[in-house]
Amino acid sequence: MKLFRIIKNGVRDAFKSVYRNFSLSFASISSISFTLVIVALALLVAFNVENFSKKAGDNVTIVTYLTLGTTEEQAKEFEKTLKDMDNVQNKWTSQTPEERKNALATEDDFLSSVATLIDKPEEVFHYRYDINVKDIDKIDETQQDLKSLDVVESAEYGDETITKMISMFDMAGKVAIAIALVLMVVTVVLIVNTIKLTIFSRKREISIMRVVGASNLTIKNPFIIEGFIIGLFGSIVPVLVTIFGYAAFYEHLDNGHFMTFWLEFINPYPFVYWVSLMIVGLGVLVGMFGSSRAVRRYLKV
Amino acid sequence: MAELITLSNVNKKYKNGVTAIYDLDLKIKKGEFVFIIGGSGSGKSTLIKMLYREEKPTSGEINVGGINVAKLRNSRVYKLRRKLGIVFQDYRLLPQSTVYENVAFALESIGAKSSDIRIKTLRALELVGLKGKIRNYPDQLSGGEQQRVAIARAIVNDPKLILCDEPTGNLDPKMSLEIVKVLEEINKTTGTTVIMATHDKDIVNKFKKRVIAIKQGRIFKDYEEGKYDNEAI
Repeated sequence: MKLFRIIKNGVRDAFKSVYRNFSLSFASISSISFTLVIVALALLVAFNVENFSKKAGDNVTIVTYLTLGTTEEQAKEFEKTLKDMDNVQNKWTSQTPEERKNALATEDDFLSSVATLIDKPEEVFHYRYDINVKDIDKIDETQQDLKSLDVVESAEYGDETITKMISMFDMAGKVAIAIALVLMVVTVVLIVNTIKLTIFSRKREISIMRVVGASNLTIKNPFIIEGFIIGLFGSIVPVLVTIFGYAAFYEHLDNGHFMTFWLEFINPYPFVYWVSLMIVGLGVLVGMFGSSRAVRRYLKV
Repeated sequence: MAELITLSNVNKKYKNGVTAIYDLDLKIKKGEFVFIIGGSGSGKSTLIKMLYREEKPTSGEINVGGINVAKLRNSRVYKLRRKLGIVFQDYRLLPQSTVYENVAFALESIGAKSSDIRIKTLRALELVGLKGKIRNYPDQLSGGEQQRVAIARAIVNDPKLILCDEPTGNLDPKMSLEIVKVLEEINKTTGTTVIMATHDKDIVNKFKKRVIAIKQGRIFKDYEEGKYDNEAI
């Protein structure tokens, strides 16, 4: 009950103070809004890049042929090596020479007649493995690792433009995050100054509170709540931009498909709500962090 | 009677190199009324400030009501402050708040229940004789009345100890007398220990309480039922 009363008084004081120092509060809110819009963009890009990479990992296969005349034991050995490779998904498909011969036999008449001519498939067919990677960014390394094995004849994957595009998106996401971080620092500084002004106008009150035995928490409380309110108000515009902006963008792209069938943007619902939640959380945290920094100095005796 | 305050080997050296208190030992019992006298810069204010942990001693031990004040962490200072009431020379009231609000503020700040706040606030204001002025603002009151509001605020949470740092410094002799009478009354009726730093000769001589004279950071004289000693200054 006591905590509830303290919080209730804190909320009352915080709203009063936002209203009283409206111009500086407004500056803080605008700054937080601007920052969070950039953060929202960074998040949307980052999540989509993540999604592309995952989808691409499933769609881009490294087709690996083992050298001709590989024995069954050697193939088993190779599979063990595959299992130990970090970036390889544990669900490759494989064809033994025998299986490839049989597959050939199910083709048209000509090919199936060719298949019947083959006595020893291991002398004609290579073992074939279709391998998917976990992280498409590292597909080059995985390819090199495979090629370096003695038993491997060749290891190739298709479309290089895909991986290039993904790393481009990835870069864009990272740049956005870097910009957002810098802006975040600016925002914290602005909030610290806003709260300092509030503290200044209530200096007497704080000193009396200290004298009569208010705990640090009680004294801090209204300022932290003020930071919370600034953060909350500051996240309104970014959330609207996220929800409506992303949905409109998605519609515009013909339901999320872009250039190739698998380069697909994340469906806006409920994705945008999650991103919005993160934005609000971040705004509120930045606000509270800024204000607790500002008030800390005044709590030392 | 048990000791409420014990100081042993207390030294205080400020960061600028000034030593305010030298190797001070002092005991004050529960229910005592003590005047601390001394000239400007004698260290009496420093002594009072160390008792409510506004200043920390450089070395030595200070115990107030069972709390080891010298070792008290910043975040725990409020525990000490809730056991005492402090009265300043400049009253330190909130100008935008009424008399009632000023006193109630002390209880609100420590999260008291609103029903308790009302009862205790009115009782404290009655004790200092200001029940008829609860809706006035500080600037509508005389200096003596403002100081009485500050005293009401100091006693509203039933402290064991009231510390007064030159409470009559801004008041004329008549009002000063009034204020010390109020403090004496509180001391007598509730048994609250009162420590008052002052350099008001007439007051000290009139009330015949324990007097501790401080000179250059040391206890110069300590008499029961003392009077203002000009040598001390």
